[in-house]
Amino acid sequence: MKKFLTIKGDADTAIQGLLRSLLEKGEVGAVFGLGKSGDAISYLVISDPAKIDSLCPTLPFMPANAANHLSKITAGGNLAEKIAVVIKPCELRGFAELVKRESGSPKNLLFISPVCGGVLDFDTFYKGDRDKELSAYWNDVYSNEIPSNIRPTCSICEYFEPFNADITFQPTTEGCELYSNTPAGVGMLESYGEKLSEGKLDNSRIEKLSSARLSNREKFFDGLKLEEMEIKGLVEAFGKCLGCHGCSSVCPICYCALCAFEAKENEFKPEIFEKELAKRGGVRVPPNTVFFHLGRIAHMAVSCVGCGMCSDACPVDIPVASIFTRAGDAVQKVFDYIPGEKFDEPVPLSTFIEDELTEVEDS
Amino acid sequence: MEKNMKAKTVTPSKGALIPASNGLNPAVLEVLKKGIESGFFSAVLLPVKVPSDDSYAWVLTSQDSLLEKANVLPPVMTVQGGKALSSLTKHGASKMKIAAVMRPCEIRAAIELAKLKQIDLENVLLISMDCPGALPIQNYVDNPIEGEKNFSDAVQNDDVEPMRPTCKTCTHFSITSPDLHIATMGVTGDSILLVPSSAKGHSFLDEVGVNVETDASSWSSEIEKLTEARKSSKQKAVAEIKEQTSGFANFAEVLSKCISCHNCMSVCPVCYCRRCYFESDVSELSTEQYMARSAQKGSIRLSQDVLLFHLGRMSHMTMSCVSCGSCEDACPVDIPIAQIFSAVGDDSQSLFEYIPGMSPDDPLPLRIFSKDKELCDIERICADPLKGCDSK
Repeated sequence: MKKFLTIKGDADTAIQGLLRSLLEKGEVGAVFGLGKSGDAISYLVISDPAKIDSLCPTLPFMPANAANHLSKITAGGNLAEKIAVVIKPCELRGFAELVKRESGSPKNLLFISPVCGGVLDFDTFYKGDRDKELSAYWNDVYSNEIPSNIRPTCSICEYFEPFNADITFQPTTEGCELYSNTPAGVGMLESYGEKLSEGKLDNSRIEKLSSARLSNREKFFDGLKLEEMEIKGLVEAFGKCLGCHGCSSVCPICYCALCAFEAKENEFKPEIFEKELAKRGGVRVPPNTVFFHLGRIAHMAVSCVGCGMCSDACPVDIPVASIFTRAGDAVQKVFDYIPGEKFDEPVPLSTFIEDELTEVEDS
Repeated sequence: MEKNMKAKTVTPSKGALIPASNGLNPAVLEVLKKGIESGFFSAVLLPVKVPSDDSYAWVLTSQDSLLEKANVLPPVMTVQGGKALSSLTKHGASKMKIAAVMRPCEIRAAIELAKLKQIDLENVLLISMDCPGALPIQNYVDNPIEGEKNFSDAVQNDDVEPMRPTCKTCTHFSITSPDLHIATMGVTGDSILLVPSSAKGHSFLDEVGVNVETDASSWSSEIEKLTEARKSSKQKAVAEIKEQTSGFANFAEVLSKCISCHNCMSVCPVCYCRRCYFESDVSELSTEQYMARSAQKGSIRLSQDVLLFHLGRMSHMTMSCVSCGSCEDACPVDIPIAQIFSAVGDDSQSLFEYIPGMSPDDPLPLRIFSKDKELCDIERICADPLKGCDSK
């Protein structure tokens, strides 16, 4: 049984109230979360309790994977005061993967994460009728359906209940339920000043949604036909790629300061172009379009959390996230690995067990 | 610095008239094939339809099967041509001779990159054409078949409306390349006019056996007329974007959607740094700085460097901005970034009376210093400050 708190009223206001009280009582030095800045939505760090009402804790939108911001704020592990972090489950998973790569530290972070219904994609959020889209979204979420206007990778996400959260929250039609998962979580809920109840998250609801998403996932992956793609299929899928590498720059896992595929080693002297031209009769310039995407898959698939940022950042609508999530799923299954499930589990490719992968390696 | 506006204003007066009854593309490809057959160049760099038929890519080729899929004037600008040519020659001049067929702003970017030592123009024949603009890439990829039709309709009807915002206000849509220009505007009778402007351009036309004997004045006067008309619509558009972004608050508001993907930078032909200063360690904040800023202001927005990045990028590349619009095409949240950079670029360039990419011989303004004439209208560092710069 977990301690939990139900706050009546608007869910955003409820979470804001909890966070305000944490700040006012000095339980935390700052709050991190999605909020309004002008007309736009960005991540904010808030120290002044009076500014808490600009937070949008339940807004189904992801302008950046929060893991990237948290990594910058906490790299070095010198955070001296506590921050309450409102973060979506896949962002928290992305952050855990970065922590494993020594690109961030969970020290002094208290995580508050929702049972996530998914997020609207950029075009729907910025170009659509936002109020209408949001109301359709919440209708679907409250009736335990998968919203139709979320990112494709959200609709197949099986880990929409957070790992590693101190508090898991679930907006309801009446308000917000907040469940503590750790002693720190209990402490935060207690500081709100209302009596806590004992209970647990309604698993039947989550299980039902989970099985719907999993069957979605199967159909979705089958439809991609990644196994049959081969080089020809990849050339077709990535043919319109502009080479902006936006997919890599917004990816929480792509943490390299200088990507190997942007390094000098991947630029070529004129002689090489000439040689390739003689061999094939034509060379795409700049070269290595498919190589970049395949290379990126090889580098990050084992940790891909399927957040969908890459697809949203793609200016030419290549379904990058769908392809990468599918590849990630396959690689992660080989290693029985759920990226971001734990903070202290080694990344599979950084460990070696002598008798591993025998089924693949033909011993 | 020397004011170099005077360079490159002479329009070549004669060209070679080529029949183009099936349109621009087949006629140009025909000439290019002759260039390859004659050995004047060994391969051509030009846009070719990708295998999935939903966009174009730059391809270096001499092969008929690829040339058949080429489109010298595609509806969209995918990779900026200057960037493609840089990929090909940034580590040294091409050993074989090649021709590069590009839009005027791509040629101009190539020339800026040559000045910045990111392109070696030796062994490259640059061919430009009169440009009707390009469609926003997002509109095209939504439905490539419709995109092709919309573009060809727009070209047919001289309709600039469906084109990208910076194309609609472009006044350099017919900048002649240093070597050879393909004139179509004001050229009647199902023909195109090949206008050479360098010895290389002339000898190419000699080689492929066409005579430069047709008077080019109907083309040049048409361009003059169109440019004048374009200038007035540009004035209006620039005033609008300036109004929209004037003052710190408005500027910050327009950029507030920025997700810091830096796509604008990575597709920019002029942003050639392998590692952007604004992505390096020096511009990163420490944990303490994040917390101190938040404590001081009550709250901070992430990324903290959105304005710094855009203003910094602007100050680094504004002098060479060719207003190609690639940055805006690549922005996932539709910030009118090219319109802003283009308006600012115009202002900073006119301060130095510099038009980027007009000639490889024009020095980059910030690379040279002329004691007597340098920004005297601003700094008054003149031979005789009391009498002004023209006092000598």
